[in-house]
Amino acid sequence: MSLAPPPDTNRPATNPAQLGAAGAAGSAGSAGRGAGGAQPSLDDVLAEFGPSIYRVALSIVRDTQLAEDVVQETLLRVWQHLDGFRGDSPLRNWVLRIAHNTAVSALRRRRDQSMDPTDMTLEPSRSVSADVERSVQGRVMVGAVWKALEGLDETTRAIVVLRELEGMPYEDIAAALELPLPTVRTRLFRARRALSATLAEWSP
Amino acid sequence: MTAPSDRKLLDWLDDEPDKLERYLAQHPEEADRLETLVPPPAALHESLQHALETPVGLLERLREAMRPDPAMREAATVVGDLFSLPWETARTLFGEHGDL
Repeated sequence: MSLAPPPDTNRPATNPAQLGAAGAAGSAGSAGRGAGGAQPSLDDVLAEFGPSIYRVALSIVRDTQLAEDVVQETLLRVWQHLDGFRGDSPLRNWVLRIAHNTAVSALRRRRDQSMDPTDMTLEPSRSVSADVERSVQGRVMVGAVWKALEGLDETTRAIVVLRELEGMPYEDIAAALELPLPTVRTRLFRARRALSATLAEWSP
Repeated sequence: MTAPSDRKLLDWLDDEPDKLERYLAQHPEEADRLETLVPPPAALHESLQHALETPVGLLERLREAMRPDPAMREAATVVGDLFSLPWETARTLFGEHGDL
């Protein structure tokens, strides 16, 4: 899938060559749009939120290639609708909501296409870094966490990643996933209980 | 209503999550107690970091994919030219204002 946008002068600039180094380091809030601030470019969004989008996507689809496709599709949707972003909530919430919805849709499409339900239980070991791959303990740990995540539904997996890895406030997770705050908390606490049990079983 | 015991909250969490949700909706301050009762598992953050590691070169690949493809742009120009050809032909034959 290509993200080459159609020519449209009303759209925000998307070509990194035209954008300079804005948001290159992904510093917190650099892609956000404050009151009266300039609209972030797609390159800003990619630099700032690309890794987070990927991690949320991977936790949901559990396939590294599909997760990359989800990141691209998410960025395309962000680009298509950036003009409509009102800026009354953090840009991150809006972007991650799109990422979550895109990943869930991709997962459903994959499930619909798959004739073999076991296809969807593959552990995405290709995402493991060389250092971790070399370490037996690291492999066991990654296997354990994937086994633990496997027992959760995709939205709960996203909640776990957004809270425990991305460190997002509960309120922002609720906004991003369009869930009531007590639902987010309850799902996360239940997930912690389940993850604790599974990780303890797998610990060397 | 007296506050439920820690044990009761954990029972709701395990067996009656809907009930716990309703309780937290009415008593949001109780979320802090649950946070203490059910902390994140040790090493969860590190495990997630490894399991969900961003692949090397991901952002560069995506930036490359975002660049407009010159071949696609050229193809779009050709298609545009083809569609405008009848109009250009008519203009050449009949003049700018259709005057014969």
